[in-house]
This record gives sequence, C-alpha cells and structure tokens, in this order.
Amino acid sequence: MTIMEHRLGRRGFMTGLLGVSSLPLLGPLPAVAQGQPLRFLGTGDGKRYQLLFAAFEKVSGVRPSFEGIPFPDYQNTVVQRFRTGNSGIDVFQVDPTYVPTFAKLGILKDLTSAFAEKSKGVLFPSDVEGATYNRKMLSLPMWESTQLLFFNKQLLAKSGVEAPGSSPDARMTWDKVIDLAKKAQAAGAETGFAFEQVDRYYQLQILPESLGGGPGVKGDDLLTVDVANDAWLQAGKWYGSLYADGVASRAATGNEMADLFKAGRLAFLVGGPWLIADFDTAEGLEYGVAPHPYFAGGKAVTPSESWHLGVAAGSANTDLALRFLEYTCLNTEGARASARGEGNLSANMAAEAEFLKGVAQQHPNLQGIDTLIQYETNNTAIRRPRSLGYLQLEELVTRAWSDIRNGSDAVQTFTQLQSELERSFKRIGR
Amino acid sequence: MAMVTAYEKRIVRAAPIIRRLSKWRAAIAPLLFLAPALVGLIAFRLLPAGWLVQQSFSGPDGEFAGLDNFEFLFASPNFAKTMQATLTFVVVTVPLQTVVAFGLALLFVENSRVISLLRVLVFLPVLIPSSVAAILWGAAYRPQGLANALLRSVGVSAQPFLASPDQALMSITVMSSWIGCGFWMIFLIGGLKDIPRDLHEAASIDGAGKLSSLWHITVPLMRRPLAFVIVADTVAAFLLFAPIALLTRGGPNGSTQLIMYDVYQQAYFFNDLSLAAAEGLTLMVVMMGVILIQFRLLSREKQQ
Repeated sequence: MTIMEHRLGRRGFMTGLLGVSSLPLLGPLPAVAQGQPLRFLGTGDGKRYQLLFAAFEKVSGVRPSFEGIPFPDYQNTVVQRFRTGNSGIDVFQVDPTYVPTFAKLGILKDLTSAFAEKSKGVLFPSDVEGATYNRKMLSLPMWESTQLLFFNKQLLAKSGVEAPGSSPDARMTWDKVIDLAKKAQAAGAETGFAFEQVDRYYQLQILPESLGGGPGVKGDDLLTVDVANDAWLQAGKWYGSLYADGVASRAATGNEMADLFKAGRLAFLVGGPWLIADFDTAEGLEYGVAPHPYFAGGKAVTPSESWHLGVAAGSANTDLALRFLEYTCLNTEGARASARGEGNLSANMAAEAEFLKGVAQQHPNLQGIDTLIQYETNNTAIRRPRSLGYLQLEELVTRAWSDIRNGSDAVQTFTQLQSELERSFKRIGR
Repeated sequence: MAMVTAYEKRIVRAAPIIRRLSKWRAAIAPLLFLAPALVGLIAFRLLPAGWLVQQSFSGPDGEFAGLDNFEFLFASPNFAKTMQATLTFVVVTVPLQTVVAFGLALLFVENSRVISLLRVLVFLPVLIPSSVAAILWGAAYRPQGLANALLRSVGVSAQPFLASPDQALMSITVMSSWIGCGFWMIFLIGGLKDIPRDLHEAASIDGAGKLSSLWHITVPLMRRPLAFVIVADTVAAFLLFAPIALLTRGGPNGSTQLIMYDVYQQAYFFNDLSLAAAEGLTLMVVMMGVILIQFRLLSREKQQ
C-alpha cells in the first residue's frame, strides 16, 4: 500500500489531535524552542564556541544559541540583518575594522561605561584601542592573532639549509627567506614559499608597511587614499616576482596553502598560530616556526587583531549580553574557554600567557614559540586602519594583489587602484 | 391567491438581482483565478521595480538626488569596463549557445533509445544547480585539473584558464554553455517536432537536398522557437552571477566583472544601495534595448 492510498479516518484524526494537543504535558520544551535566551551570531558552524557556551552555562545557567553564517558572507549578512529592523541578534562577532561602518549604521551598543575601565590591564591595550571609535568603546576584543613563518624541516634538510631559529633576534629578511625557499625548491620541494591567506589585505598589509608605505589610507579620518606611493609599488613588484619566478604557486588559493604545507610539499609558509593544531594531525610532518620576515632596510611588522564581540543596539537582552561579553573576554576562565576552541590567541593577557606556555610545553618542536608570539604581539603588531572606507579598501586592495599575483604590472595596478579607490571614497564622504 | 401573487412578485423582483449577481460573478471569477498571479506580479515584480527606480534617484539618506548616481556611474572607468565585459559575454555566448543548441536539436530530434539517452545526457547539466556546476568547473579549470589533463593528452600545453585575464571570460562562456545548450536544445526540439513532415517530404520529391531543405524549410519555420531561445538566452547571459561570485569574483584584472556581480558588490559589500539601484536600472534599460532590437530583426525576417 502506498502512502497516497492511506486515508486518515475520523478516529485517526481525533487520536492525532489529542496526541498533538497533549504534547505540552510532556514538560517544558528545551530552552531553544522557547524564545532564545541569548542569541549569538557568528561565523562557521559554531563548534569552536561549544566549550565557551558550556562554561558560560555553568556560571549563568543560560546556554546561548548559535546562528552561523559562512565567513565570506558574514559582514554583509550582519548589515542586511540590521537593516531589516529586528535583527534577532543579541551578541555577534565583530571584525574590528568594521567598527566605524557599524557605528555609522548604529548597530553596536556603546560599551564605554560597561567595559572601558574594566578592560584596562586585562586586555591588550592595542586591542582596546582598536575597539574604540570616536572615543566610544563599541566592541570588546575576544581574540588576538599574529603570523609566523612555518618551515618544513625535512625539505630544508634535504637542500642542506640550516633550520632557522625562533628567537626574534633571528628574524630573516624577505630576500633571505626567498633565497632559502628557492634552494629547497631546487632540492625537490614542489613549492618554495606561500602566504596562508593569498591576496588578503590582513596578510599583505605588512609588505608596504614594512617599507614605510602605510596602510593605504592616511589623514585624520583615514579617507585619503595612498596606495600608489613608492613603498606600495616596491611591495607590489616583490609580490608579483614571487609568482613570476615560480617560487610561489599561482595555482593554489585560500586554504589550499595550509594543505600543501601539511602534505609536506611546501618549504615555507607564513600563517597563523591556529594552523599548529591542524599540522599536528599530519603524520610524519616535521616543522618549526621562525619570526615573520621583513624587508631589508625596513621595519619588522606583523599582522594582528582578530574577532571582537559586539552587543546589538536593539537587543532586549542587554544585561545578559553584557554578562556574556564580560565572561568571554575579561574573565580569565571564560577567555581560556573561548580561545581554546580552535587554538586562537586570546586578547586577554592572562589567558594568552597561559595558552602560550601550554603550546610550548606540548610541542617540543616549537620551542620558544611562546616568547616569539609574545614579542610579536607587544612589539611588531600593526592594526588595520579604522576607516569608514575599510570595506572598499579591503575589497579593492585584495583584488589588486590578486591581479599582481596573476601577472599584472604592479605599478599600473596600484596606480589604477589609487584612482579607483579615490572615486569609491567619494561615495562615502557624501 | 394573494399569497401566490406576493410569491410571484418576489420571484419577479429577485430575478434582476440574480442577474446582476451573476454578472458580478462572471467578472469576479476570472479576477479571483488571476489574483494569485496578479498579487505575485505586483509584490515580486512591480513593487521592487518601482523601489529600484526610486532608489536610483536617491541620495545616501533617501533624499531625492536627481541624476547624481547615474552621473557617478557613467563617469566611472570601472563601470565602462564592466559594461564592456558584460556585452562581450552576451555577444559571444548567445550566438554560440543558440547555434550549438540548434545543432544538438537537429541531431537529437528523432526518437530512438540511443538518441533519447544522448538527449538526457546533454540535458543533465541543467539539473545541477549553477553553484555546484561552478565549483565542478572551477576544479576542472585548475592548473592540475581535468581540462589541462585533457589538453595535455592531445599535446596542447597547459592553459591558465580562470587565472588569465585573456581566458577567464571565455572559460566562463564555455562553462555556462555546458549548462545552457542542453536547456535551449529542449525548446528547439519542441519547435522541430511542430514542423509538418510532409513539407520535408514534398521538398525531397522536388529534389531538395538535406541542406537546402534545412535552410529553406526548417530554419524559417523555426523562427518563433529560435526567437524565444535568443531572447531568453540574452536575458540569462545578462544576469549571470553564480560562477562569477564563486570562481573569479570579477578578476583577473576585472576581465569577468559582469554587471550582476558588480550590482551585488555595490549593494551588499559596499552598502551603496542607490548606486547599485542605478546600475540595476541601467542594466534593465540596456537589456530591454537589446531585446527590442532582437524582436524587430526577427519579426522583419518574418515579413519578407
């Protein structure tokens, strides 16, 4: 008998009705279905928050509900959600570079009175500064980041190159690293060198910055475009040459670089400390870390910053949301639970020190990594610019790096980018 | 007796009401049947179009800004580049897909088991969501991917495909034709089946060869389905979005910056809704212009 042939009789109908109407007698439904106690919007599938949510539930009795958006669509989804009025969000991940834009749209609750004082001495000062726009603290820093030079020990040994040290004093210039990468390639490495986040502004801002070229915008409001100065052109030529020479590969993009390193086919990779957990799952991979390279004659600079948390301006759960933020970012236990999920660095100084000590102890191969990361966070870290034009800057600069990687002339590309950004910024100043 | 009269009177008086009611019913019934479609048309087509027009003349705070957005758009070198890429794509893709689909339709019009199977195989890509197709082709276009493996097997050197400003747009054309040709083929097969067989038979009795029968009978009689395919394909080509968003994001060097992706980027990346609306309206006008020309050309042929 097929389903279509089955007819619901009166008795069956009444039984069903009775069954459905008696469901509430089974007891209260889980909190999720009852109207959300604390609604959290973030990137990905939310696995990395499970530890934190469980820890917060223990201290508050409330388990936040997670709604995930894929990373590439995250920022514009947030904006669209708030634009339609009721966003259905209490707490959300905030990329601190979007704080000016979010402030203009009025979607972030002002946290100055709640956390400005409390964060002092607890969070990294540079992160707190990054959460502040027009003298208002609009987000609370949750994680930190830096970039390290990972190298494959076996590939270097094969080419007779001595493994670099992890002390900040042993920092190599880009010329030196690329030279070693070419040697490794000559000795059999498929690819010599790679950036983990190909073309991305976050990863490559350090190239012109190391040469003194600035972040691409200047002026009091950071709305004057400056991407065609000598340092930017030089950095662009250097970036293009990596791919033209074949020491870096045009083929792989995005996460594929980390996979290439994991598979033992890449000699040097500049990437984040979050890769360590992943690399540890690769059998037979022997690797080490060295300080992030710099240009000879230039400054040593490293990318920094990571996700902050923000409270939705229209949230009906403000008190609980603030409690959650305080626990996650300012409480050492909460910060530890939040950072541990995916091996992120914490913006909480005590939690980060503890975490780094643990990494160094667990990884005999990564001796000195704690000292190195601490040094970079305190001395070489630079922030991305807090400009109302950051959306345009990030997108168009990333596109320009991509064009240069694919063989476009750096001078021409950045000169075009300058005028393109200038035009684009005119729309913001209106 | 008196009661009967009253009863009759009532009936007499009731008649015009019923007639009026039935007239009303006659008018309302089609309206009721059309209502869902009309509501849909107003809610999902007319209102958004009106909103688009209003937005395109608005400033950042919703105030009337005259032609500001259009002035900015038409003075922008990037928009000129976007329009150029879009028109190139349309001009190459539509004739290519129409000719290939027509050829396939001629090949697969007859009914036999083998032909039915082949027809299904050609149509199959249509059933795959365009995002999935884009990902599949993205993998095939990689330097170590399937496309280069095939080229190497016939002695051609590896090509950069999506990584090259010269090849990226053509690679997207090939990809979208893989999906499109099978789809348009089905419409053309429908058209071919409508052509009476005796016309071909009469032509062959008159001594016409296959080619001349194709040119003098099939093509003229296929004008209507061909017109539909050309117009619909033009619209589809103008609105192509998923492969660009997933594979090239407009690059390399803006070579695949097609207009729909540009509109999306302005609206949802840069939060510049009024510029995106102005661009959308421009696209609508250009598209209508192109379609109008196509209609004119196709109907003129008909008069000859």
